[in-house]
Amino acid sequence: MSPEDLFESDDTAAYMEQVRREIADEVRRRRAAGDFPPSFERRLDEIFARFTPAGTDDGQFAETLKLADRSAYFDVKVPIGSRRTVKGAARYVLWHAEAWFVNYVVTQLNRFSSGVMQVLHLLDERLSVLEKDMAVVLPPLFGDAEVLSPAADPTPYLEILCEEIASRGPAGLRVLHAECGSGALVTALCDAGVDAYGIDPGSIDADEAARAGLDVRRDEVLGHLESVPVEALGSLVLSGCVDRMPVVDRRRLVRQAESVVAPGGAVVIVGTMPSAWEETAGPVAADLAPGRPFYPETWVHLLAGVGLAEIGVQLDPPSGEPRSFAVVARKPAARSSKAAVAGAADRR
Amino acid sequence: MSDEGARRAGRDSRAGGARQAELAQYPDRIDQIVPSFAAHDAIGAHVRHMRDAIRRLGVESDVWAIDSLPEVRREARQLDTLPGGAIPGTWLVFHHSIGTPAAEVFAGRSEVKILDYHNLTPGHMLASWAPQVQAEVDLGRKQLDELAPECFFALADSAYNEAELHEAGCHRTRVLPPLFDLGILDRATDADLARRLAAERQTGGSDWLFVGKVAPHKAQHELVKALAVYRRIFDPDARLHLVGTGMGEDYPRALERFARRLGVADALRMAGVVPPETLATYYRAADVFVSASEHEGFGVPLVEAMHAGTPVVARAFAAVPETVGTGGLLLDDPSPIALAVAVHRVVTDAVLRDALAGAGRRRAAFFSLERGVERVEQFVAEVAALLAADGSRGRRG
Repeated sequence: MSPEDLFESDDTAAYMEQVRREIADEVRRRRAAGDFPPSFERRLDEIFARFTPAGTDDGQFAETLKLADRSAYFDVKVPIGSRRTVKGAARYVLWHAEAWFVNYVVTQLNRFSSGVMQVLHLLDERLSVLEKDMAVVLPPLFGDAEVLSPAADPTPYLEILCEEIASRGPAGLRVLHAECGSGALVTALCDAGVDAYGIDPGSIDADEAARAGLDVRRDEVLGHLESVPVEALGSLVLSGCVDRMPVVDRRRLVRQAESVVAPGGAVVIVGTMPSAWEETAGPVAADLAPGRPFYPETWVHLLAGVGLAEIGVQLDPPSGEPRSFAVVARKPAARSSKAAVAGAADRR
Repeated sequence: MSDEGARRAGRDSRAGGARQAELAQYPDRIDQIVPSFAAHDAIGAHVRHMRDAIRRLGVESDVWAIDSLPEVRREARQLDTLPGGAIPGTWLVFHHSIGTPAAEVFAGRSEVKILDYHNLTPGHMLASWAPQVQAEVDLGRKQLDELAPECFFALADSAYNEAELHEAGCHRTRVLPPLFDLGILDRATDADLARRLAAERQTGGSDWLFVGKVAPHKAQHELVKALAVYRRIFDPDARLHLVGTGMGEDYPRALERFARRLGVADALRMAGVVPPETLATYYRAADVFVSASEHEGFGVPLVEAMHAGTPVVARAFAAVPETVGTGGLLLDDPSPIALAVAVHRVVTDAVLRDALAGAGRRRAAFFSLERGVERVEQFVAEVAALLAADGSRGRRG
């Protein structure tokens, strides 16, 4: 259809609808390819939230303090303006009658809010000193700094993981490997008849993975797990991210893992031994990393802490100085998050 | 033509049996009340065009305001000098868009009352950014609920606004889109700006434009997100021009910081308020007019962009779909990704761009000043007929 036809015809609405559909299709295709995972959009929202008046990042604390300073003063003046004489007079009398009381209350409120603001300013000073001491470095959103250090290789554990997941996991549910790297474990699981997919925040070639018949997406683990419904996964394998997350995120990760895996499903941690990691990461990455690898015993402790059971540890190599490990835990059939949620709702 | 001449011409041109009868039902005066009167804001322009259209009908019309900007001070009368008691044969039109003491004055009048509702931004959209404005719009909402059932008739910029009037209890309503002169955009150019924008284009990159108050409900932060996505995937040199005054300081400052954090600060151009010739130049130079706005009672800049032949891509919120109609590309998916993909399609698809430019111009013609004046005449005739059927309130004395 030529532009001239479009100017003159009544088909403009139909043409626009067709264009809209094509745009929606492209958005879907790019999302499926992992160009824009849900966590990406969430992250944009989170970054903007830091700059809102209630935000507390990038110097916003000082702005928020100023806002609080401005709001911390209560005006004793009662609004009595009115264009209707009778109403205005009535309000004026009311104001006189109540002025002394309002003044008394507001003076105390002002004293209180001024005290609170002083405390906040002191806190601001102390926080500023702490931040300087910690020298927190935030990685840019789209920078090369997001390219992450190599993950522990799950290859030595392929056989045992396929056995744990394919033979013992609940049937009919998808299995996720995060971070899946080149997709070796996803391939092995698919070969074993498991409906597996992978995510990785690094530079995955999604098209190449798709050509190989793999469902591999670009996404980061915490954001992705937030978008997975409760008990929707047959099993979950975690590697890479588990070595470098801050401790608080690792605890969150374990809680999320327990939540998204169905009863009877496995939660697997493939991690690097701390000693091996420091050798391979190098002194700069090791020193500046927000976190360092945990020993397998620590993972066992955390996994048990959220109620997972049948926890076993596999070392590689099995004897001598191990360089990596796999911790396999299982969600007991009796411990269902859905049931727990329903129970909590009943209690409320 | 002088005002008196226009009035006479209006009366003469309508001489005829049925028309004479209609004219006999018209009031002596239709005065307008507006809290703040300015020449170049959307409501100010609407009020002036409406006054002129009423005068052409042979009906006296004045504007009463609490505050008037210097350029229109001679055209307005101070609201506090409005004579007490009912003025016979007079209708009063009150323009409502924010909480104001003028609403209280209007509520206390006993002439035929007509509400012209230009929409109120929901308070929650402004809460954390501008609590003082939130308080004003919340007051405006309360005043709307009080005024609407008391008014004989109400006008709304859009069907979206009209639904709010019905909800507030006024059921004699008519949609009257804002009156504005699109011709002003055809008559002038800012040569310096045109040269500067052309020089920038030489270095590559497409130009996005949005015109409107820099405020959270207009969601310019969503445009910044979409620009970041677009520059990352499609065009690393794309630029976003934001024209319009800031609502306070916090939101514009947050936008700049956000852009810096996403690495697109060099591509974000905040022009502030600009005169009509500069605005016209921006429209002509832009590759695409992009709206992420989450609340519009109408959207004059959408129409201006369509009139200028600038392809419009807009998220389908509030009254945006009925304003744009088939004159632009409306997106149901509010994500910045959808916005970026749609802009890329428009910028790279010449057939679509031309189709949008043509469809936009046709749609903009629907909101021409001439048609707006006709709508004013229809509204006056309708109210006069309703009053006649209702018992002659407000007719000529």
